[in-house]
Amino acid sequence: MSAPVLEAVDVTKHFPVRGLLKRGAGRVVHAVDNVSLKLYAGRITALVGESGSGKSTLARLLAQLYPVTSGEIRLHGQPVRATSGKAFRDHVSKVQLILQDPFASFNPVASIASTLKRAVSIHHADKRGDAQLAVIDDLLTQTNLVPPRQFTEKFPHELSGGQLQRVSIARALAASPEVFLADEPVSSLDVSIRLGILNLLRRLTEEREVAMLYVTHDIASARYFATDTAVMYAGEIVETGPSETVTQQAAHPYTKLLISSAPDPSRVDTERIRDIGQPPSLITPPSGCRFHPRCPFALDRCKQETPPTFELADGHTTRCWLYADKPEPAASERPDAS
Amino acid sequence: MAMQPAVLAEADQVEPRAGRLWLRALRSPLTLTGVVITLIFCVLAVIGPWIAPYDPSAVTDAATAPPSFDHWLGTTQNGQDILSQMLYGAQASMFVGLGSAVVTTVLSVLVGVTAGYLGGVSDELLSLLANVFLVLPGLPLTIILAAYLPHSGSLGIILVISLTGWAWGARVLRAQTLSLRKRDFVEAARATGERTSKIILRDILPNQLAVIAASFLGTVTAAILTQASLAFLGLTDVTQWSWGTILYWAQADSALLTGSWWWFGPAGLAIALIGTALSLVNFGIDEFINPRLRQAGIATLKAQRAQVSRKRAGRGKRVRRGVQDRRLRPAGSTDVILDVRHLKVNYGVVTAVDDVSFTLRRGEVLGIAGESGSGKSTLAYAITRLHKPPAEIPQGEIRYTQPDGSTVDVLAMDSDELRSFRWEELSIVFQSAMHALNPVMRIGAQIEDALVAHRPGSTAPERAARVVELLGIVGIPADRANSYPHELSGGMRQRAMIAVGLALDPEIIVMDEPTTALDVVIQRQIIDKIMELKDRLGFSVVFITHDLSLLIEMSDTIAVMYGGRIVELAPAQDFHERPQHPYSRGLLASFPTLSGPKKELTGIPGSPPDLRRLPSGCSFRPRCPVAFDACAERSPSLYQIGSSSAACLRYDEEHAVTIGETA
Amino acid sequence: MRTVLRKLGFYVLTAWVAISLNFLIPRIMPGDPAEHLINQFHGKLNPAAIQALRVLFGQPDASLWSQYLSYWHSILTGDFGISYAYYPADVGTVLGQSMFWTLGLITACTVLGFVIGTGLGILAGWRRGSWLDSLIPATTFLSSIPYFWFAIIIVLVFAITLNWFPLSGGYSVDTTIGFSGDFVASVLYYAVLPAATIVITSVGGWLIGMRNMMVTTLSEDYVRLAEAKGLSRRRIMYSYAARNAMLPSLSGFAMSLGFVIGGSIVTEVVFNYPGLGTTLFKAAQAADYPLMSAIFLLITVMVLIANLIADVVYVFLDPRTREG
Repeated sequence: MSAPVLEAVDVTKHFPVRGLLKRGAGRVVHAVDNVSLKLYAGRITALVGESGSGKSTLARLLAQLYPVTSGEIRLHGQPVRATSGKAFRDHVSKVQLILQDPFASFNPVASIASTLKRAVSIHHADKRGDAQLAVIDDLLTQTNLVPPRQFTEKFPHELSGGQLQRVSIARALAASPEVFLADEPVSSLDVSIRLGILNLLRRLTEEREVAMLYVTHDIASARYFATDTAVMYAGEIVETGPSETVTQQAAHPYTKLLISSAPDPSRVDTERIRDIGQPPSLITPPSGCRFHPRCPFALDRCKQETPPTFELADGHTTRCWLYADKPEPAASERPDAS
Repeated sequence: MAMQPAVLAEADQVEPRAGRLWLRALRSPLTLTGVVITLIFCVLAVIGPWIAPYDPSAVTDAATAPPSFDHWLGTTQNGQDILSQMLYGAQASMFVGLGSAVVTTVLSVLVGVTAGYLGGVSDELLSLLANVFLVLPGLPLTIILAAYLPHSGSLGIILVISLTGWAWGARVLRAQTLSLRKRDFVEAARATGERTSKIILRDILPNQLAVIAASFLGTVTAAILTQASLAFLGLTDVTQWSWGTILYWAQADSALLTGSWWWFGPAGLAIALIGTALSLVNFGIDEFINPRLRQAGIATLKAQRAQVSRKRAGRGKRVRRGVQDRRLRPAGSTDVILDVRHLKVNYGVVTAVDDVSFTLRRGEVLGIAGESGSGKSTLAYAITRLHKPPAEIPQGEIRYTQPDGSTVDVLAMDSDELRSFRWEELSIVFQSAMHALNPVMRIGAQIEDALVAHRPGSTAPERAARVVELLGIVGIPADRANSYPHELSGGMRQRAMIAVGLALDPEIIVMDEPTTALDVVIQRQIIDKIMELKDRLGFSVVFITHDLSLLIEMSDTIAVMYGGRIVELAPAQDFHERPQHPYSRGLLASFPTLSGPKKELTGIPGSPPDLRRLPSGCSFRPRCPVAFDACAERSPSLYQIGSSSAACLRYDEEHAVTIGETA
Repeated sequence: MRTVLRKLGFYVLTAWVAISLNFLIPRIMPGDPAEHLINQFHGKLNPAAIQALRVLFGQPDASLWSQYLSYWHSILTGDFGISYAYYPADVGTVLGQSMFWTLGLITACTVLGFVIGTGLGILAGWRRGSWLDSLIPATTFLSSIPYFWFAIIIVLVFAITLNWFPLSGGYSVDTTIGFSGDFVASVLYYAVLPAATIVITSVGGWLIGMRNMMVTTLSEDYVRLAEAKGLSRRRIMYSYAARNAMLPSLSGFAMSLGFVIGGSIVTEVVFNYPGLGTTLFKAAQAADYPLMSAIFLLITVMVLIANLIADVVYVFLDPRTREG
């Protein structure tokens, strides 16, 4: 496999709890802890997790919208640390973010044309007047918004969610990026139009040989849409691998829980992982494996030691003590540890 | 989705251009009056000294004369013409008002936007400073400053007013900037590589114009008042004519005791008038900012009462037909508990729910699926008669069969009957428990007040025991009864909502996207709990969601809505295996599945229709892969196909023949 | 509790800012206010009094820091100097006489205005679209009227023309000050017009704010749920709608207290009411800086205490501020 285009290496992001005199001041939210992820050209990687798992934060760290607390973001193997100024603009010209809610991601008082013009004038600074308009037409055509002139003079509230999400993809395309970071690009759209957007993203990935990060809470869509899938829980990646393997032979108990919880009328067996509890506080995350308080298979060791990454097969990895070579023999006997 | 009716109603009012919205604000007579008066005052302030008939300080013999032809507003003790003083004064007062507003607004915008956009420590310090200045009593401080600068001219006053008055605007703008900065479009602009200065100029400020304008106008009023107070107290240059100095001289020369009302009358009236005018303009801006206020005139009590007026008016007829209409069927003949027939809901001219009929049986889970704008939430509110004006039900029946077997029409109930029907027989669970639970009431109390309202005879200990029982049923520890909604997690809150819904053992629970805001794992917990309770307590469920796979899993019957109509109604299993309507097929081919082999996903081309511009005939026609000519002409009704029924003309016998011929 | 403590810290800070401003203003203003003051007394002052004035209003020979320290010493020992307008009374004595009048009148009327305005606002919001909405322009006009001008009109109508109430003052000069029935009756009688002025002019603002909050709150989901629960209309109106709509109104009340109290004291001038406002007016007229700055400090402290009370009430009303 070729070298990754964009890479997160042991990235950690802690957000300080704000406020001079507020409770918890001085403590931090462990949004992302020690996460590594590689994005390859022409390949879609899904990042699956629930709200608060840190998946969106990771996407923003890759886009350099926030500085990392520790670890490194590497573009073509070169570390980047550029959250402002020219270096930041250089980074975003190669790495573009697409946001979840198309209705919220456009300035309500600006027309589509003026929003796109701004993006074009940043990334095609040499183009003016008609040349600029030609670029805008081309961008809209590429995202299947034809005829383009029918959309440029409209305001965001005059377009449907699907159309707006296409415009937002067009805006990202203005930079001719090498990496797309799509943060839940279809979650707020109607079911019947999601597929169209996902297909458009897939086509762009393949045609332009760009790397795509597909952030989602819907693990089923990851199976269909992404080549690889990484699952996040409470700020950590707990499982990675080819999407089909992760969804069909899930290794980590959390991935199993996620899969068995997702509604799926085609499912034959009705046996489910028993779930106990809630996602943990990220200000004081549980010791050891962060999933252990909810895990029906938790071992004693899970409470004390953070599990390392275990390689299972063909790039399928998981961070769970159950896959250690020598699990503590006694503990596996008590699957319902409280 | 819970907000759908509001969104729809608002959508009706949305105009294509922001500019035209401003004009719309002017259409309100009050706002227009305010604008006109303000403009008149501005013009007078500019041309006042030129049109003034006399020198305002010129002393004449006509001392303390009431209004006359020579002196329209009378004269002072020294025979000075009050009209001329007023006109000259207008210039000074308006100058101070507008000048202070300009300086103050600039200061507020600088501080507010900087603090809000930068955040962090600079924000904390700047907001602290603003809060300190806000709490400091402004007028006494101004008086002191003015006293140290005796006989200061307008510029000094402007400076003093701005120094003491910037904090309010800064505070409001900071909060606004903070919320705008978190909005996606600002983040999107950053992610495109836009410079901070441009983001502030093009994304933040344009969206704050209304607030800035409101704060500007508010400052004009406050500054004119402050200047008048200072002048009245003699703390400005009393030889420079302003409305305040007129009052100062009137007071100093005991105009009050001599009864010279014309002396101090006009100045005060002028101040009050310009203040009123500016406030009226500000109300217009308020309504522009806060669309809920715009709807205040629509959602009145009277309008609410009139919602089912046609129905209630028609009730007289039925009463004459006798009691049997309200107690239609004898007991035991059917297990149908809710029978909705030909229900129609309009938002003004837009029909959100059109000719919807379905039945709900005891213990059944009826799933209603649909995309945005399909009318599913409107339907939920209409069943419970919780729809708000401008929504109204011009047609249809909602028949509820009571446990004793008698049948009542929900739409014909008067408000007392409705109040006892609600919750006792039918309860509703909203999408967002965060918004649907009263934030300042304990969970227990919110369950209890349903008991208080419907079981007036119950004692407090009985009710407390019931609250604990209900919390136990939905899996919330009893001590949580004393918690406030914000102290619970999302899943817990939704359980609490369900506990509220179960309080009176209702026969039917309408659930409007109860799990949409939750993560799948928590959603699973809640759904399992609902199904368990349904089996145990035997209520019926109307479950509304856009999540078709969830619906197929849990429902007995599924109704698919599109463009305000039910397009397919079928037992869940049949629906999953043999969807009949082309839309249902498209939907099922849009869902990725987790188990089994990957299937081919086709999706549906196009977007869901806009209810304001429904296509003619079948509203799915523009997206339908199998549409034919007749689909544009006729709106199909439901055709029976085996155990399912679908609203598609392909199942019409007449067309089945035609298709056969053309194919 | 934590919230209240944090607020307390904030008010201490504000008080510090106010006192420091009071220290700074005379020193950064053009001219030498201290010298000016001392000259005004035409040599009637003894050296100790001169020294006290210098400490408060500027010692050209001392460093700013040592001036600040001795200033604080004077403040903490309650030495605000000698009043020029009320010579030879010292400032403390003058304030002691006038502050209770203001405290009684303004506190009662501000609270009354807020309660009446909010109450009417709840009704106007609940019955939105009814005839009550037509009150809005009228109340707007009332709240735009300058307090002191309205006072003048009220005096003209009720004191001069109708002669129902006394023209000015705080009590009848025939009665002796004390806790006698006569005195209390005369105080109440004399307070009617000033009180009416403050209440009437302040009601409008609260009314409109509360009405708009009510309208906004009424479209909240929890009000709809309350309706769905079949609760009585009274219960929905008070426990659900008004209870929540009041919260922003109350914090607005706390925030604008400084403004309202500032405005109210000017009305005292019109009535020649023996409170802080009239005293401030006289002090300003006579350029009596010691009295003025002390009044400013006193009013600031009063506003801060009122704010603190409002905050405590707020914490009591809104459980979301109670965490920790």
